[in-house]
Formats: sequence, structure tokens, C-alpha cells
Amino acid sequence: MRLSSLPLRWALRRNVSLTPAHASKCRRAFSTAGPRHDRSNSAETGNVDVEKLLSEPTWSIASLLPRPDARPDHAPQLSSKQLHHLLRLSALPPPKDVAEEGALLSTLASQLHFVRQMQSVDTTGVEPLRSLRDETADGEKAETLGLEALQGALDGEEVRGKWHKRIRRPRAERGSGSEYGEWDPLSTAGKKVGRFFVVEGGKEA
Amino acid sequence: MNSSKLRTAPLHLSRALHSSVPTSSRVPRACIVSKWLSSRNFTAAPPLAQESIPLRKHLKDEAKRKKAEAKNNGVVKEGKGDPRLDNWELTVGVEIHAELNTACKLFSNAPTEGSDGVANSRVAPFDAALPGTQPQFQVATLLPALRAAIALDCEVQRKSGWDRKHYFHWDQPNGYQITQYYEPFAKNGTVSLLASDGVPATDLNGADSINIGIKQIQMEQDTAKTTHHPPSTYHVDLNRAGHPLIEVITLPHIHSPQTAAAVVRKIQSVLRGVDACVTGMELGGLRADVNVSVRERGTEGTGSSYSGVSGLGQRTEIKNLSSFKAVEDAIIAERDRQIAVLEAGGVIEGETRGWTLGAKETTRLRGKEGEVDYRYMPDADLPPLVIGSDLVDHVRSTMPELPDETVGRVQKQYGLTVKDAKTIVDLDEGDRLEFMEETAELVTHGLGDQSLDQLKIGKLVGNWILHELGGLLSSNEISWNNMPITPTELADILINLQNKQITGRVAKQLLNGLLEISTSPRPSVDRLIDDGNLRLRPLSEEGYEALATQIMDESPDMVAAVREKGQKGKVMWFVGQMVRRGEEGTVEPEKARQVLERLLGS
Repeated sequence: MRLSSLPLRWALRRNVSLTPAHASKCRRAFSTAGPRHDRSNSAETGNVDVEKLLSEPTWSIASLLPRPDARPDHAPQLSSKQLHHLLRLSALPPPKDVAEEGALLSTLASQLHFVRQMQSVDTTGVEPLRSLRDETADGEKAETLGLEALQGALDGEEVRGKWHKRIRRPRAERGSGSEYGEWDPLSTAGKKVGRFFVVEGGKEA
Repeated sequence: MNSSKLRTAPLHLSRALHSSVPTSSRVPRACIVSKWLSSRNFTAAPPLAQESIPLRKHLKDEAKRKKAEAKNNGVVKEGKGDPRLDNWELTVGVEIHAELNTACKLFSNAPTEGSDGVANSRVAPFDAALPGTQPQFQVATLLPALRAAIALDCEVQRKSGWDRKHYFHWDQPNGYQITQYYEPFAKNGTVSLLASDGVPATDLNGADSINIGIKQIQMEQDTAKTTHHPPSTYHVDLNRAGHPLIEVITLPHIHSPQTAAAVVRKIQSVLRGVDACVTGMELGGLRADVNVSVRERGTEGTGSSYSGVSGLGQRTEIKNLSSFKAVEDAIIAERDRQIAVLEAGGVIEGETRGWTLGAKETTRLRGKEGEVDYRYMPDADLPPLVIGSDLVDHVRSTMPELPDETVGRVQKQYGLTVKDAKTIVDLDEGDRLEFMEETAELVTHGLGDQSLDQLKIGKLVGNWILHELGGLLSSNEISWNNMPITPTELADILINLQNKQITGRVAKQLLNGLLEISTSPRPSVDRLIDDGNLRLRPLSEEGYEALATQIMDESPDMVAAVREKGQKGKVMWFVGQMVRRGEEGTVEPEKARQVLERLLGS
């Protein structure tokens, strides 16, 4: 039985706690091969060089932001036109001067670098999470709109006619009932005229 | 009975014509009066105290005038004339937004009706986008949407989602519209059109009908209503914000403007027939956007494709068309513009264009934003819409008769023409058809053994309800709801007419009289006939001859016209005179005509 078939954690634990002399004694107990002195062959024997493993980082959080010195060639340059288009879409004010525009563009470039790092993760086959809901079968069953859920609406309809049968939902009479609700939406209005909200559509703010 | 009343022109008609057409003479045109009279089989002799212009001359003048007007307006007659259409092929896709017939809004419990006219009176906190408010799907709104999907033959998806479409506008308080972009609730339907729906023969290609595919139907929110107060102020009414809409998207299977208008008409009538969307285009409850592209025949256009249909040219979108005619005219104008640009060597840009009634060309509204600019994303506040199959099965099994089926049935059962059948099915939300069917049943029953075949009865009843009754309602400006005549009364009139107890003229007078009686209890038709002494006392042969000879003696020039000049049409003038001069309820026009023809030797 080879030591490499045992769980790695067990093997690591075994090897870390042992002095080299002790280690070789244990190895003799479980392995058919002779004692090894080459530490880099840890995968074969299950002997992991932990210190080497931890000595160099494989990933740094700094990779999420662009390096201040380097300008990656593959990242496309953002044009001023694109920036203004995005600001219009977001209903944000345009930059006051060239300096502010430069600052906005470089911030945007950093943000896009960050997003690209996110997008580099392989997510094939993974459905994005939309919200936290009960996604079990029972949960879906509880959410299903079946006949009982619509029974109220179905009961509220009437059949009109004897020869030419039509389904009709009875409409509310004109002017029936008081105004809906107790709160007045116009109380939230900054500007109003009569019962209308007022919006100034001119170019000036 | 009230024969004098029937003779005078309905004043409102002449006034209307008077105000719309500027003419040198300020006297109402006599021809309108004549037309009205002749439509009721009365004589075409112009009434007293009017300028008498011979009817035929006036009709010719009218036709000439209309042609001249059309030429001035530059309307090109759509016909075999346009040679460019041989080289260019049009493709159109239609997107229809229709307001659903529900009691409350889509994501809030604010009512959709009542308290008419008061702005901002049916607004829930979510509709006003107060921070922190959440949408709550109102289950009852699913019912008309399901009916619409099943009526248009779609596959209802078990699970569908809600997505946000982001853009800022003052009619959209939330800053996004909740729609179903990624997963609509119904897909893959069809709407079929016949030649009688207005599809030109070139599109039918020899078949009886064409099927236009429907890509999907989705539910979404409506925006608020804004009114513009120049120069740049807008008044916003949030009553309509959040009202449920369905968007019906067709595939680009349409190849002519008439078919596109027919598709919109057809979809509107189907939606109305299942009570899903009951406000029509004229009231703003249904809006259409069209996507138009052209390609040279035999080519693949610019290689664009949409939803599986490939080889199309670059398309432009025309938004917010609010009538069937606007749909047709806008497509024609846009097609012509695109052909002109392409023939001159230019390139069509994908853009959004607008159309105003009476315009000659579409106007550019904005460049076509990519879909990505809307930043569609699933709405995290709403659970997916899961529709149970039991509900779908129930709705499918309890669907009312679709308009196409009704029209077919009315044609088969009652012998009406396609046009009449369509008209009566559409009128008054089907109440007029109901009236007709009840009346036909009563007439069949009342005539008993010696009944005519069902088709003849159907035709008779149909004509009376559409033309006679319809004419009376419009001339007296009474709506169908306020009409006091019952099916029993009309059936009695028709039974008496069929049994030759009264003449046609008397029948019409009875109808008119019944319209005016508002006392209750209403007298029966038989009672009215007896009271008015209207029963047909048929004139003997000698009586006819005597009356005819008397009239012929009085107008020798008319006799000469018939005998010598061969103007056979003037015989009807004699018939009219006989009917007028004879005693009420004695002269039958048909018999009178036979006698006159014999006497006049024609």
C-alpha cells in the first residue's frame, strides 16, 4: 500500500510533526519503496513541502486593481464620448472640466480592470443567484399559481348572453367610491399644479 | 305614422358636412338628404324648400372633388403602379402594447378604474416610487394575460421571470420598468389572417389564409401619463403608472403594410373577444410599434436576422402608432424612404423614428440604443412567476368563442356576408349579435311551419338589425344601451312582414315609432298595427291600375321619358308616387312596379 493513496491531510499531519529521522522510520513502516531524500517529489510520496508551498503567493488582492506603472495593452481605452454616454444613461452630471474628466476616466478604468478580473473566473454551468428564495421543490409548489389562487378572480367574472356567450369582468362604475387610499401622492411633490406633478423638461437644471 | 318626420333631413348630418367642407353655397347639400332617403327606399325626389340638384349630377361632382383632393394631398394610390416594389421586398415586425382588463395594477393594489378624471387619485406608494416600497404581484392580473396567450395560441411557460429595464424619464418614477425580458410567460403563438381581414392577394400567394408567428407575449408595467405645456413644462399623472400591459411581439413574417394593419386589427379583436384587453386603439388602450426593413428581391439584405428569420435588411423602428391607418401609412412612408436611400447608394441606420398623422415621412427620434443600454437585470424583489398547469387547462377549457369562430358561425347559421358578419360581431361588444340571435330564434318560432329556411330568416333579421335599426340609432343619436326596442318587438314586426300583414314601409315606420315610445308597459306590435290601422289591405288589380293611370296622366313628361327615351329607372319614381299617394298600408311596391311596367309598355 502506497502512502500516496492515504488522505493528504493525514499524510501532511504525519510528516509535519516528525523529525526527519522519525519520518524516515515511519515511511519505512508504510511504504514499499526505500527512504527518499528528495523533498520536491512530495506528490509521489504524499510528502508536501509546506514551507515551500507557503513561501510564495499564487494570488494577490492587488491583482484586482491595475498596477500603477503598467498599462495593459489588451484593455481598450475609454473615450470621452463613451464616458459622456454612460453618464447620460445614469443621469449623472457631466464633468466640469478636463481634469475632472481625466479623474473620472482613470477611476472608470480601474473599475473595469476589477470587473475583468471577476469575469476571468470560469462560471460555466453556474446559474447566477437572483435572490435568496426557497428553491426546493416544496418552495416552488408553494409559489405556484394554480386554480385556487385565481379562484377569486374567476368568481368575479360573469357570463354575458345566452346565444353568444361572452366572459365579462364587471367594470367599476364611473366615479364610484372615494379616492383610493388615505395618503395623497401630491404631498410628496416638490412642484405641483392642481392635481398634477410638474416637471421642467428644459435643458437647464 | 310619422311619415313627415321621416322625410326631413337629419339636421346634424347637413350641419356636419356644412362645417367640414368649405363650399361657396351655404345651403346644405341636397344630395345628402337624397342619399338618406334613398337608403330607405323612399323616392329620390328632393324635398321641398331645398336647392334641387339632380342626384346623379351631384354624385359625379362629389367623386370628381374627392379625386382632386386626393391628388392635392399627394397620396399615391397603392396599386400595381409602383414599379420599385418589383425590386424591393418589405419585411415588417409588429410589437403591440395592450392594456390588460384588470381591477388593480400589476404590482400594487391601486385600482385601475373609478374616480375618473381626478388625476393622481389611484396611486399606491410603490407607483410613486417612494423609497423602500416593494412590488407585490397582484395575482388577479394573470387571468386576462393567460386568456390572451391562449387565444393567440401560445405555449404558456411554467416559469417566467421579472426583469428591470432601466432608463430615466419623468413618466417612470422608479427609473426602471418591470418587464419580462429574459423569460416571457408565453411563447410561440400564431395569428391567422384571411383575405377578408384585408390581406392583399400578393401576400396570400394562393392560400386561403396566412399565419403570422408570434414570438412571445410578456407582461409589463405601463408608464404614467404626461401632458406637455409649452415651452418645456410637463404635467405628470401617475394614475396609469403601473397599469398592467401585455406586449405581443410578432415575428417578421409580414410583407405588406395592409397585412401589418390587418395583424394589429386582428390581434385587437382577439384580445377584445376574450375580454383581455377591452380599450381599443382609438382610446389609447392599444399601441403599436413597427420594425420596418427592405431588401432587394433575391438578396439577403444586410444579412441581419431576427429571431430565426434571416437575410433581412437593417431595420428601423417606428414608435407609438395610434390607429390602424397610421400603421399602414407609416409603413408605406418608411418603406419608400428606405428604398430611396438605398437606391441612392446610402445606408440605413438602425434608429427609432416617429410618425404624425398627415405627415409624408417618418421623423428621426433618436438613434437606436443597444439593448445593453437598458441594463436588463432580473428584479430581485420579485419571485419568479410560476403558473400551474391546472390553471392553464381550466382557462383553456373555458375559453369563450374566438371572433373568427363567431364570424364563421354567423355566416353559416344566418347566411350573412363576411362583411356583415364581421360588423355585427364587432358592434356593441357582441350585444347586437346576441340581439340578432334572439330575434332570429323568435322569428323562426313565430313563423312556425311555413317558415323560410334558417338562412333566409337570418339574412332578413341581420339586414334589419344592421341597416334599419342601425340607421335609426345613428340618425337619432341613440346608443345601443339606450335603445328600448326588444327582440320580441322586432321579431313581431318581421313576422308580420313575412306574413304579408304589413308592407315594408309600414314595418319601418313601426320600428321608428317603437324607438320613440318610452312609456311602460310598451304596447305590443300587434296592438300598434291594429290601432294605426296599418294592416295591409291589398289593393285589387283594378285599384293599382286606376292609381297608376291617374299618376301617369298627371305627369305626361315622365311617361314620355320612360316610353320614348327609354329611361327605365324612372319607373321607380312612379312606384314612389303610387306608394305616397295610395292609402297607408295598401300599396306594395313590388306589385306596383309590375303593374306600372305593364302599363308603361316596357
